[in-house]
Amino acid sequence: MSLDLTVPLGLAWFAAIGLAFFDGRRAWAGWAAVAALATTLLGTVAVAVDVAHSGPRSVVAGGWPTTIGITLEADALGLTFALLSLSVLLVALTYEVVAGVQARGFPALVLAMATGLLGLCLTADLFNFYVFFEIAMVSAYVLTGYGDRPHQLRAATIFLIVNLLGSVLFLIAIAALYHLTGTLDMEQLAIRIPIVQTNPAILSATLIFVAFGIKLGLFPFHFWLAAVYTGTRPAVAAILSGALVNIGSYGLLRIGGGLLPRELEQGAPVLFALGAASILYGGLQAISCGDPREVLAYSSIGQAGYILVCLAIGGEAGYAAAVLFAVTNAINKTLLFLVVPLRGPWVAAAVTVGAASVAGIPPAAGFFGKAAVFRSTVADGNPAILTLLVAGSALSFIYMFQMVGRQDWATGDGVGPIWSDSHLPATRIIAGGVAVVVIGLGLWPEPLLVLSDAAATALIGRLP
Amino acid sequence: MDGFPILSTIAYLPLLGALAIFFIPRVSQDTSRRIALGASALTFVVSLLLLFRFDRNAEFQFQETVSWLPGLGVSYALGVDGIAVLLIALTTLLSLIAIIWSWDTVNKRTPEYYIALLLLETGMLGVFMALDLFIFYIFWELMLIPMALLIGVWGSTNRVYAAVKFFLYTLFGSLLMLVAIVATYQSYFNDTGIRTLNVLELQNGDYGRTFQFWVFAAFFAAFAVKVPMFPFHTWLPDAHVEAPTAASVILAAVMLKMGGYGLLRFNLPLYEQAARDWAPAIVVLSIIGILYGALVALVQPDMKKLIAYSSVSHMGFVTLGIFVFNLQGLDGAMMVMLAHGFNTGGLFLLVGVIYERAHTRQISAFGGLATRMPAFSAYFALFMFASIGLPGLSGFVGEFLVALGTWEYNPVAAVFTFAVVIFAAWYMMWMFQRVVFGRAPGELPDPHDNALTTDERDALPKERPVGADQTHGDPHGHGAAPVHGHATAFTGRPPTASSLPEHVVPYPVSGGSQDHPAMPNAPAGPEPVPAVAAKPDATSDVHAHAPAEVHSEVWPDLTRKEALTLFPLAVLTIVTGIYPAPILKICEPAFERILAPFI
Repeated sequence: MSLDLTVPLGLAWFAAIGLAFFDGRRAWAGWAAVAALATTLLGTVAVAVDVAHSGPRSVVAGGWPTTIGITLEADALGLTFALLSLSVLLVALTYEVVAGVQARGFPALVLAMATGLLGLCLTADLFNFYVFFEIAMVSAYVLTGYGDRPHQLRAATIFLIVNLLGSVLFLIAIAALYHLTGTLDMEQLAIRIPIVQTNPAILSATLIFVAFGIKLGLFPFHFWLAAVYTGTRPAVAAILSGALVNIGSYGLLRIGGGLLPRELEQGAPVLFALGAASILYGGLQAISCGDPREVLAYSSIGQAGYILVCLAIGGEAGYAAAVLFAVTNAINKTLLFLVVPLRGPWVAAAVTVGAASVAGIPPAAGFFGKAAVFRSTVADGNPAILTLLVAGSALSFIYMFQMVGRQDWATGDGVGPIWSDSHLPATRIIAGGVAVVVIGLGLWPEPLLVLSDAAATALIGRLP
Repeated sequence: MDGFPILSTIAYLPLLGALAIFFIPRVSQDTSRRIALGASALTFVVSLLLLFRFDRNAEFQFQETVSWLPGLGVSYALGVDGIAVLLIALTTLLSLIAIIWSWDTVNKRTPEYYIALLLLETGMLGVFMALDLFIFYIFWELMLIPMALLIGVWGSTNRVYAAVKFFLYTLFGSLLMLVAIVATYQSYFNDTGIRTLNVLELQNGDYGRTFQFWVFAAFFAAFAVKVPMFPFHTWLPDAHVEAPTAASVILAAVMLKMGGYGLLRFNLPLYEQAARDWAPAIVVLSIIGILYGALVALVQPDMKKLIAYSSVSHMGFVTLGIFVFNLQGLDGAMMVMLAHGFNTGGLFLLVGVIYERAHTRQISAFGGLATRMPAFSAYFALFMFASIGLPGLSGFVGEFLVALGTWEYNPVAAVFTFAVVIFAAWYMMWMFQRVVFGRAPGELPDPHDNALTTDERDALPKERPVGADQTHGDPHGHGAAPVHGHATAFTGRPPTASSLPEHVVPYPVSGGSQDHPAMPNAPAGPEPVPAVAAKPDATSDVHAHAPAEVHSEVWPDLTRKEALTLFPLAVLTIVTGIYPAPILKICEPAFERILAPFI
């Protein structure tokens, strides 16, 4: 028996609407949201198991005729990112519920974001992609303001303005693609794009790239990222860096790699250049920062550069490396953002694990991400890029070592005021659990490797 | 016993000990010490078993292969040849010694300290056993973190700087190595369609010359940092000076060997052509390192730094011996690695002995230990002569063989290596003279010394404090009170420089060229000073960088524990010096295999 694709999506959506009527600061509301999200995740897992056994499948929501209704399609790539995003959201939500939710709408917003992220990973239609994208983004705008302190509001404002700009560009690009091809169905688009004129297609591709670049925090679209990540609460920072950032990675892979491969190839030099700039800029900025959250924010900029480089390398190996790196990076950042406000001996261990993973030291999961990027670069045979990656990797060693060494994680000297309100044992257990996952995936990376290979195959397999 | 995973047993016994300490709630200092001792002693015993069961005429033995990540071609593959089995025995012995040594010298965060030491042991053993590049890389990185922690947490004043420097140098090297591993893997896969990281399989690959050139360089960078080879050595003096004694011993005796081991295991067999191409440059750098290390060691005021630079010099012989591509060279390199493990390990322990008592390592703060601490001085003499390369002791065999091998390769190069023997004798014996002979700071000159001027003779007290050279006080020399009373009974005042008439300070040299010009901390007034600057915490030292008031007359000679830790190293350095044949024999099949393509 296979589960309908619409079930998890609808569950998250209706749970979000339902919870919006209640005060999310109450414990039961928080736990209800956790339960709803966990069920959504389980449903998605069930779909994933089914897809793994019997291949990708699609469904038109609500029984509408095709081309009119919302077409959902589940393949390995979409499901990988869907599972990743939902897991991160679940962990962050539980963390916040345990620490004590302080804003009315938080649980509902997380569920709304889950709907958006799940939907955009499962949709097969570019316009619906945009709709789900906006659902996720609108929840993110509100979430960044969570905390209501002036600097959080400032961060939220920056985030809102920059990302609205990105959304507008994306919408223009979609309109342009529709004008060029007469369809927004991804499968049809992939067939028709190669026969349209080059220049308009390149222009649309550029707009899409800019839109996702902003989401990912790529250089030179990064300027919003540090302020937002530092200003907001740990759970929100984890959501932004572990879940929302997937829009960027997934979008670039799905639309760049799956729909516009020709344009992607033509733009490869630019991607290399921007990726290089991101890696170096993020790494150097991270070294110069003192606040661990700032270090992590700039590290995210640097890590986004790796994804870009993989994308530019392209091919199955490049895409698989991009997926693997995106997944490990999201998990690492979730762990670190959740754990930096805490203190204690186990926290020290978890921070070390996270830092080792970001720096790519085995046996943490990040090592496999880094190794995969190295492997695709070596296979590509470009010594300049390889040198760059080595330099970027060395930078990540330095800033992570500095971050771990700079504070006494075990006893808790020098903890700022915003961070001290989540000093609960349960939050440490959750963060510790993520650390165990990071180590576990490092010791037994087979699932990650299989998943990323399957995702890359699914992406390549769609090409006409 | 066939099929019993003896290598995994050896590798993971220390890890088990570490886990045991970690999971016992509120573990006491003593329990953690006992667990660490038990785990490392057991590991040592099993490794001896391995050594005796090792078949001297065969290559890789005790292999364990379990498929781990079949998709990537990674398997958990362990195996040892003659080179590895000796280094494994060295590792387990030195780890045991380090743990015994730390018994009462480490009182700060003791359980964590032993966890780090045991994890380090597992990492080092794994490095010597791994036959899969991936496993090798994991162990390589695994051992890095506990060592950085040992330096950074339990080191002396400037420890964090030293730890970060150590960490970054090694990590950067290993990053390049990772790239090289991935590149080799990819190249082998492109050629044959087989995904593997097993060294024995990768050796069969046919790699292009340019490819080899760069990949060799990347591997070499990682190992050259570890050796450490000039100009990659700058982390070593800092790390050694700041590290606690036990970590210094392990660092010098075992970790530096990983560089040499890596070159033998990976660089030469995998990339023969590149090894030939790079050899001239490496030989030149090795000779520069040998001479440079010796010259810099000459001027060091700090004993640990002096020994650290002497390590740079000795380890130059290892890279030199490896890259002259003949059997003498390889035999010599192996012998230097082992001898350096015994001798430098012993020397660091000896520096630890007086550091425990004086809380300084400045050479100028010491003198006259021969009468105060005869057993200490005897050990010191032994390891010093072994380190210089006195025939009959271990240091000689290796360096002589390397020099022979180098002569065959290029006589001019060999001449340079012979020259260093003079420098080695100079810096080592000079340090020995200043520390062990001469006059202790504050000690009165011998009235029978004919070199004394009349004024100085007049300034001497009428009676010589004959009792001051006896050992007394508490066994660790930390208590002040009994010493004071005892010493004053003979002279009527404490036997310190400060209590003597001011115009006779400093005393002229007698009975040697020893002088003590730099004593800035010596109080000028007549107020009584504590006989020993008692430090509750042995690992912190405010006196490390300035010669302190040291009072060797109250120091006990070697304690039982100290003698126990030094004894096996002394025996080994003598035995291998007199009869090195078994060591050369056990490595022979491995060396023949390595050399086969070069002859």
